[in-house]
Amino acid sequence: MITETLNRLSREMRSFYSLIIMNMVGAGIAVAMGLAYVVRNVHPMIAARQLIWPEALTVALVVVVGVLVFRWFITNVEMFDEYQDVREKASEDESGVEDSATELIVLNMAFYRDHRESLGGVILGSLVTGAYFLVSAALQVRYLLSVLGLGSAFEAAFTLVGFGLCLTLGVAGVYIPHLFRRYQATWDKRLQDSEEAEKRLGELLEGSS
Amino acid sequence: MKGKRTLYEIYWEILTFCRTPRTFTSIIHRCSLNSDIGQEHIGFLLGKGFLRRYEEDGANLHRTTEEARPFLDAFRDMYLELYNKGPEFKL
Repeated sequence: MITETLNRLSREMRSFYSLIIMNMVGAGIAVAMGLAYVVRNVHPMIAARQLIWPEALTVALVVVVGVLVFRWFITNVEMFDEYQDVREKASEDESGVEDSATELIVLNMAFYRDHRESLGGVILGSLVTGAYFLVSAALQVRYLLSVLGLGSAFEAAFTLVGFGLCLTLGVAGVYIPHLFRRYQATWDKRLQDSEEAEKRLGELLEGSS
Repeated sequence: MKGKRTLYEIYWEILTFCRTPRTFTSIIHRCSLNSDIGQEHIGFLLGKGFLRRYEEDGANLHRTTEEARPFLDAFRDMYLELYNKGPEFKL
């Protein structure tokens, strides 16, 4: 029984850790692509010493969204760092099997209480970025078709990679929040049950001398 | 242990940690408590008889007593139960 609990904890922790990494990588790529877009479009404006429309507007939009995405990235990194502590603590546990399983549950519960609010931001950040990349991929379709028909092989391959990256990030950005919501639902239920446990523990303490 | 913990989770952590005799400083360090809060919690557990304070080689040590066993067992059983009864989170 206790071995099964530990295995389950270990599987859950691995799953959540992978989820944070996926999200962090997605956020990192989004920030990098945003920066690349800004640099690519600002360069001609600097050379011409004047604002070029509509690029100036899209650059401003990407900068605003980029600031939000960067904050989302930082939240992810903080979450990753703290969850890393939970995992390290779990691996250095010297207590008995039952105590170490209980400690892992308490650690994960404390982590969830700490990050319950920020998970909402992470979900929103992921959704916004996902939507942005899906729209971006949709806008590239026409250009992609024209390049595939008339462009060189190098140009076609390059455009295809860009389109594929946008599409992958878009789908991942929309799908990852679904996984975070499942994580939330699982731990919300446990937190709810822990309130009942708290009442019983309170009664037990009051009853003791 | 860091993060938002309930009072009972902190008590459980102190009592589990003090199965081996510990100094006040090591308890508050391990349980990430400040001195005042640590004093308050340890005082409560001493008052309940769950912890015993004694001096050894000039050091003030704290050790979990047998009286704490019902609380520790109940805590462990409840947390294992609440964890196991729900669905598992998987990717």
